[in-house]
Amino acid sequence: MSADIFPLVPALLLMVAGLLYIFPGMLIENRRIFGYLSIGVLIIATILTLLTFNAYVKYTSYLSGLSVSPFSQFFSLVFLTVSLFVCIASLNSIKRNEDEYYFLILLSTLGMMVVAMSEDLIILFIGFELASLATYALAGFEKKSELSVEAAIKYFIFGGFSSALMLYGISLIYGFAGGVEIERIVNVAGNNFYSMLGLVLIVAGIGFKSALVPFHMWAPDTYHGSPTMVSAFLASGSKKMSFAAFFKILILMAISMKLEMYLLMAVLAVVTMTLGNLSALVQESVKRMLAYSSIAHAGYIAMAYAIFAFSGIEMAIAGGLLHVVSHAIATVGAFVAVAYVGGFILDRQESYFGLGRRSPLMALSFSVILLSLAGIPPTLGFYSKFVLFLTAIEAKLLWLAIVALINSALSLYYYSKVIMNMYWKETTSKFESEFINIKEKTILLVVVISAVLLIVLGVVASPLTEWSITASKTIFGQKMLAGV
Amino acid sequence: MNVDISYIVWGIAIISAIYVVHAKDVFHSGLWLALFFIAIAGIFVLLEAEFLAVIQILIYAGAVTVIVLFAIMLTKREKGKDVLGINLNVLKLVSFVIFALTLVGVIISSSFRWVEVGVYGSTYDIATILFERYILHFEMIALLLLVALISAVYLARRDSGES
Repeated sequence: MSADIFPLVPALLLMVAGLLYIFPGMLIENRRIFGYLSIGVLIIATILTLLTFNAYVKYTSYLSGLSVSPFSQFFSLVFLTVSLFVCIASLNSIKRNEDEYYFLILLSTLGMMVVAMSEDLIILFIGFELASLATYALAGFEKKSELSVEAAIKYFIFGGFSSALMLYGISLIYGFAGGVEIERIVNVAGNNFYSMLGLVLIVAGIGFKSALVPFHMWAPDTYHGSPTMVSAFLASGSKKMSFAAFFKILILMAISMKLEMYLLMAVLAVVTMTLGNLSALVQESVKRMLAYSSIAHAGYIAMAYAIFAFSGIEMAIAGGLLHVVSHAIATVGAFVAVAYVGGFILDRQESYFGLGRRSPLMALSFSVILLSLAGIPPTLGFYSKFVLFLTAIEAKLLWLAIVALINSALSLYYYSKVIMNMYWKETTSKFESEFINIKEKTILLVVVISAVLLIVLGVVASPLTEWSITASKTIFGQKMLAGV
Repeated sequence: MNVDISYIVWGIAIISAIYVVHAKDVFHSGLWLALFFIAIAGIFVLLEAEFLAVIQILIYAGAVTVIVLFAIMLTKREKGKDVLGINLNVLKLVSFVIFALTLVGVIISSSFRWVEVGVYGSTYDIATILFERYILHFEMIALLLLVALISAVYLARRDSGES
């Protein structure tokens, strides 16, 4: 096999490390070692991914179905970073069954990376399921908490249903195209009823996972009820995986049927962001507010597909990718901050009162993260929204840009409410947490790092932008560019 | 002659599939499901895919049905509602009809790549495809099953601290 296997090493590393956890897990008493091991493995994998950030290999023979491109490396880096942050943050808060916990996190990350690397629909589906199955168990990781179990069951039932829809869509496409390779489907796909039905089913299946609005019902309950570290992983890792799949499949749609997909995606995007923001306005719990805000952000990212399908402007895809990064980093930071302030599973608004005095560094970093989510300069959140909205205007989709701008302004209200609570409200000392608050240095570290990353990437945005543009050009090979 | 048999088999499959959701007792649903799987195996036989038919009977009609029936036996059984009969309202009916019409329209309007009888389905073909073209997929599914297994064990296990 002459193919360059080096870019696959991070994925292999995750797999091997995860598999090696199973047996020692039964013997070793002090299982914290798995936490440290996972962090080490993830750091190495992140560095290796960064080293090969522009690798472009299409595998054949026994690895056929995979390809490494700047696009997949971009997403892999997002997944690896997110799961690295989650692992660091859960180092001291997950105190039992660490072997299973880190096994599931690593394998789930592997599944996400496989989705980003997939070249055919079957491997895409397998990666999807690998990541999902692991997160179903993670959502219910706190077995004694009814909320956590409820979250897991809701997630599992909706997830199973969405997988069935997606598989049905894939089988329709297979019957029509005679193959599962995305490249091959692009060549035969036409603007007919049949491929559209299959694609709509796939979009619905992926839409469930990325919590776009008609399919979002599970998301608030699941994000709210899961252990907070797992919510962070779900909202910033698992959700971004479905966007990677969306990019793969929708570019394909964009080539064969421009108009229908544009309308579908534009309507989905507008409904999603509006409903997410409006629901987030009235939430008492910050964790639940973040859940709705991550639905709203899914709407912003979905704008990218609509703009691209309408006009074929590549910058739209790059904007979508940038927003994926900014939202992933900000969300993981925000949920981890919630774990620090609010508690392991539930939180209340009162627990944020006076945080500015109790823990200044935490409050400052959390504020930066929230401002990035709202899209205030000089953060990465502002930059990615700016690129997205600008391409919408460039593509003559003024109405979409205006709706998104109004939504963005709306979101500032509920983000700034939290910041106000942290700085201008007095601590209500009577607050007693039902669940233990975790005040750990590691969590603080994660929040500070993500805040710093958001600012640094927001100020020095050009390397990331260039990479996202390269990535958007290589979603599945040069072939696509010839087609558009 | 062959055509007539295939119509009968298809008929059995469709009727049993309807009764899976129509039966009032979950246990009966399970039995109808077994019949449905056997009918599908019959279709495979008529398509000259004997290996698939055997697999279908072994895994689906055998293992899956037994597991379903075990699950029903081990859990508390309650008299369920007839899903088709009671909960039918206008909206559901309309969406049923629209979806069915869409599927029929789709199948008529587009060129479905029909598989020729006897081309696929021999053990040799399946093994060649599975272990050459789709070997990576095969291995990934092994990983997937491991993750599912460990998740299930974790969720079902009683931890040492629990009573």
